[in-house]
Amino acid sequence: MSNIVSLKNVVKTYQLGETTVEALRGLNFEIKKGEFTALIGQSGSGKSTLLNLVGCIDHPNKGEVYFENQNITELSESKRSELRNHKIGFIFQSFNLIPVLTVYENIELPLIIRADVSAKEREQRVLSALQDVGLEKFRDYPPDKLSGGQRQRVAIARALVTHPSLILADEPTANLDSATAHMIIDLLTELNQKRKTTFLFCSHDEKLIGRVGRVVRIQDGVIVS
Amino acid sequence: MILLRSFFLIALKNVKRHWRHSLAAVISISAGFIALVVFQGYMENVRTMYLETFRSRFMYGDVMIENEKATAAEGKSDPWAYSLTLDDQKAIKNFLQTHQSQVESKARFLQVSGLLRGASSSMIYRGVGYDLQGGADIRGKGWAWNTIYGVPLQKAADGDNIVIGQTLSELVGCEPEKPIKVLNGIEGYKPEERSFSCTAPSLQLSSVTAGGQLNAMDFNVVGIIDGAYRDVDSKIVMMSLDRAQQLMGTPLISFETVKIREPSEISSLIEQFNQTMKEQKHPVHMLRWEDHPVGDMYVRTMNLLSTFRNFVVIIIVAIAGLSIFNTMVKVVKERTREIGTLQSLGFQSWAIQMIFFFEALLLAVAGCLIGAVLSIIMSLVINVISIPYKAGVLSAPVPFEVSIVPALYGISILFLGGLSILTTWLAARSSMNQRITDNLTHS
Amino acid sequence: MMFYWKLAWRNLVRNRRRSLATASAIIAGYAGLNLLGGYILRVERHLRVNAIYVNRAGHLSIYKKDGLDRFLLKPKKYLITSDELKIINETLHDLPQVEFSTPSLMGVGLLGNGDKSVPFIATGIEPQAEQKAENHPELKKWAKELVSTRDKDDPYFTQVNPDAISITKDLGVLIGRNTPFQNLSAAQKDLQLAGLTYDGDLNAVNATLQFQHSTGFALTEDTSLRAPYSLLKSLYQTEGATSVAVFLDSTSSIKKTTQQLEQVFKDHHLNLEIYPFNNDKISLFYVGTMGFLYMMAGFFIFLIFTAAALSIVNSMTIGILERGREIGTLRAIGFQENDVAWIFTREGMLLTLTSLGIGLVLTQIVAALVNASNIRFRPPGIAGDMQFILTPDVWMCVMIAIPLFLISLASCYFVSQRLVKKPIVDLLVN
Repeated sequence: MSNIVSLKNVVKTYQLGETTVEALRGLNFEIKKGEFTALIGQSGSGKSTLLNLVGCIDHPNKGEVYFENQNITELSESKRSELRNHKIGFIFQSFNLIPVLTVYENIELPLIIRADVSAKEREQRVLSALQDVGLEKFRDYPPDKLSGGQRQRVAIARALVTHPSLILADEPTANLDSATAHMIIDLLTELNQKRKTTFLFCSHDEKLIGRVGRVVRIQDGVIVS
Repeated sequence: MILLRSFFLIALKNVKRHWRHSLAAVISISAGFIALVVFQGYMENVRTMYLETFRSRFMYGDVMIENEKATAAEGKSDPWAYSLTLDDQKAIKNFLQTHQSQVESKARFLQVSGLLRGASSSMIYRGVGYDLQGGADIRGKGWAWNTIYGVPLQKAADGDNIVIGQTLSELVGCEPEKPIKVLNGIEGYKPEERSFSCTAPSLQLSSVTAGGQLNAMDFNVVGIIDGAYRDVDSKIVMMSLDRAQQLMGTPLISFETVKIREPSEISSLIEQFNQTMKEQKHPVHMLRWEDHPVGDMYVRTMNLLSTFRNFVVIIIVAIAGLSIFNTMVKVVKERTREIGTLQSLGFQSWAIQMIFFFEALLLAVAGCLIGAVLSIIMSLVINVISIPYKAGVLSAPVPFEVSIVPALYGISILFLGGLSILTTWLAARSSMNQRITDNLTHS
Repeated sequence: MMFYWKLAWRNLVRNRRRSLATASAIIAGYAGLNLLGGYILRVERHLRVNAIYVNRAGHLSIYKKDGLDRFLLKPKKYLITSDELKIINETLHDLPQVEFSTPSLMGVGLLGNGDKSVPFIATGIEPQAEQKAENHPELKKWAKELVSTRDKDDPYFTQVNPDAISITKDLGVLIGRNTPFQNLSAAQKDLQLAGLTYDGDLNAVNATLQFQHSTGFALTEDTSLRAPYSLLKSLYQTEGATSVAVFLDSTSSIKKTTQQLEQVFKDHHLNLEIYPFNNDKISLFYVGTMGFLYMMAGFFIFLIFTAAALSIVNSMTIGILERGREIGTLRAIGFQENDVAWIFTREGMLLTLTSLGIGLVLTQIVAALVNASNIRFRPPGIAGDMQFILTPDVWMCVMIAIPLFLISLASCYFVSQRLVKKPIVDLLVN
């Protein structure tokens, strides 16, 4: 299997007041296509930073990040946006749904800015995504009328609707009760198997870690296993 | 006291921490402050200018004394029957002498009108003869030199002298050697003689005397004044009282004006005078010139300006108030969890409100201070530039100036400070009334 | 495209309190400007018809060169001769935009009742022109207080009474004649006008006090006398005129007519000058008052536009700062910076447009209420009082709305552009 993502000697630092913190220290990392991978580590280990760099929503201070063999660190912001829209899906810990949009509209959101997707195809994709997450009956509901699990399913549908190569999830079950968390994990696993979409998670959730194909441990800004 | 000091310090730190919101509020308050004081400063300047024009320049002083029916229909129709007789004048003189500690200056006036004949034309003239020294005293230092060209009457050599309006002077063929730009501000002109010449060596003024006879006298034009209003300026003539009495063939006077030393004593003096005249059976009364028809233009102008000022203030208050409210709602909402924490620690509502009040006060003070500094700079720049503009029927432009009045600044600070505190109280009220747990879990 | 507007509207509704506070500021400011504009428009129209019709200046006044300043000084020299009048009249007759015109004679003198004399300033125009001026629809529309009470079919207009004169109420008081003058006895109506002819000789003519008028201005109310042109010609012993007043179909014809007349005067070598009604020597009150009001308006416009811009900037900034996570999410799923900035800009645009619409309705309601209340007020310089009327013309309101909208749009755009450029990671942890 080919690599979908490669990181080479990546360094990322932050300024916290007077102190400079090295979140990632010369990190090397690859993800293969179709993998279902969990990033684990303590708070402050750099896992969210790594996820952000893979998702092109942050820039490394040093090193290179490749996505499908393209060096994304050299891309303009406009090209990175395009890449995120076409190739990458995000699932956030706090769901990050747009409160004034319905379930249908939230899922549709990434396709609104796609000139290559017609209105008809957009509708088809959204309905298909709704079906995948089992929320057909809730299409016209606003997010504040949904449970935590339902909101996360909407977020998953939104991430899927663009048919991305890679889905990144930052603590997707952190704000959910255990039953709901199980359900979400089942859903993600099913999607990985059915669609062969590559998944990369950050998580503390032991239930999720037990279900992934690969576990990557990060500590003090470097991969340890 | 220690408690209040602690609240104040918390407030100060919060203002610094949320500097973006603080800046937004400060800008709103500053902008509102500048608009309020600069506009009101302009209004104050106009008011002062108008007041000085009537009080000093037109020599109305503080009060006028005339026959009770002088401005009624019968008085206008037959002015000589309702002028101040010699007896009246004596009674007035006696009264003013017994109250001389209150009287700063006074002058007697006789209204004159008729036709003025130049080299090849005639025009209407309207004006007054007056006590030259008394008139100069009432005009005061600022307007003592009231001629644009030539010399004031009290400075001219004795003779049959008149000063006439600018527009009238053009009509009768008088021209200055070096025309100057006339700007009528709060004070008069630079006290130096600026030469002019007339095509005719003298002007003949004719009138119908008190006895119904036609009379004419030749006068020398010694100075050119500005009549303030164009329709007045095209007719105005001034001369000494004795010459006016000679021209009109009468020892009567039309009215007398008095400048009072202490403005607070005006009302009581009016009352005393009117009582005295009533007792002595003189049909004479004293009144403020603002209450006299001559003051009508002043009163109407002030009413119009007040209306404009009130309109502006309402708009500024509405906009500034809404802007500050907007900002403070956001500030309070963002710190709902903080409010919950304080409540859970035992802080009473008044105490939490006090913290926000101090913040609002700090923002208001900062906004007002910045606004005050900018207002002063703006006012000084405007006053130095002195843009001339014409307003209404004024015969000459007036300078656009802004008065810097400390009281206005103080009132505006209090007003905007109060507005800030009120809007903060409104903004914080809803969070205070929520349950502590709701506040603690607010996101 | 509809999606974005839908999103904007929903976000405005969601943040009701802030939207309402910002909208209120814009509504108050816009309505305030409209109402002020409505007041200024009314004053301008009132003073305009006063200058043109009540004071008989016409839209254009033709004088001998320098005659406007110097006629009273040397009337004979600056008189428009009868030959010149002939050419002027023939020219005006051929111009379709000229409604009517009249020679006008001006002079001073003494008005006597046999016992006393008081000074007067007289103007005399042809009675037919006077009839048209007094009954002009523009005058009735904008200054109905100044419309003459005399009937438009009064025989005066057909010169049955060639010596009938009109004076103001104040002049009447001075000469000992009370209004209504029509009710005076024949003896009381007999008055005499005395003055110097343009050759410098003393002359007098008999006149019949028939009518009352108002100049509209307090300072001229005690000297104004109106007489037929023919009567003043006999008094001053002349066949010429001080000026010719030209009344046009509208003020928009002023420039074109002036150019046409200047060409004719040049071709005929006539030494004449043309002044529009809004020249400060012709109508100082109009020019001075409007100058002052425009200055006030300028100040208000600056104030309100600044306040509106600040309100929008304030509201947008707070809104964007509040929705950092939402912005970060949109950026994360592929929205470009500009796309996100335009989402917020649309919100600002929608808020402004809605506020302007409400402001326009509010303006009309307030104006209607004020006008129905018949509030009287006494502006300085005006004779008597006048009704406080607001006439916020819809086109004027639209012209005010456009720059306000553009300022708002610019404010929204620049604020959003600046604030959405933050790193996505920082936005997401907001």
